[in-house]
Amino acid sequence: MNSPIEGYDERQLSLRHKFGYQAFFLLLGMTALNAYICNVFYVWGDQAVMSLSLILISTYYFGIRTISSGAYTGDKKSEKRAAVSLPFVCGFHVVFLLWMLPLVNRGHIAFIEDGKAALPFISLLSSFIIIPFTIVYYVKRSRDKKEERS
Amino acid sequence: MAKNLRLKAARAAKDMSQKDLAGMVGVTRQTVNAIEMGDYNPTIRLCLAICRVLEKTLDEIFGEG
Repeated sequence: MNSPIEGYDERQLSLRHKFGYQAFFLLLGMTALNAYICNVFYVWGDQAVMSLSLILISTYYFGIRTISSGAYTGDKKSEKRAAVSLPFVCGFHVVFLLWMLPLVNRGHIAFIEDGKAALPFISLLSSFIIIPFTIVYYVKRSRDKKEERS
Repeated sequence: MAKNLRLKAARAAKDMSQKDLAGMVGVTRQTVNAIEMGDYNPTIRLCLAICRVLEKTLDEIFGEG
């Protein structure tokens, strides 16, 4: 019954498909809104920074929706991989933030330059995304384990 | 969608947990839970697999009324 696609079952596959196209349309909508804001009001960042920010937000949406509905990992192998890699990536971002923030304080790195979001802003945004992402994953995992026991 | 209490009852009659049933039909426990809660409509293939494991007919577990 499990799909050959990384051990996801039919419900997980249909949820991933659903959240995937929702994330795609979210990205399209945000891109259109961003184009309007930039044309009418204010260009808030470099082209690369704006594009990456929107992609990160829609990726975050997909990740959070799949985690909360139990469709993030398929078989036990991918579950173990996520359980190991997520805290590692999260820890890396925490260390990176702790290293970067004093540099921002001293003025060596700036998140905003000339009133526009600069490239370091992406690092900050991805850190703010991956940390709650990891927390939600572990909360969901412990809730599932409690449900299994009951 | 209404809850599928007949599935739950059939599973309980066989003294099976959701995890046991999920393992035997090749899906996750959350999928079995979603089917029982009426949150997910399984494909006919999965319905047949469940019926085979629980030794019931399709109508007895997934039939209307």
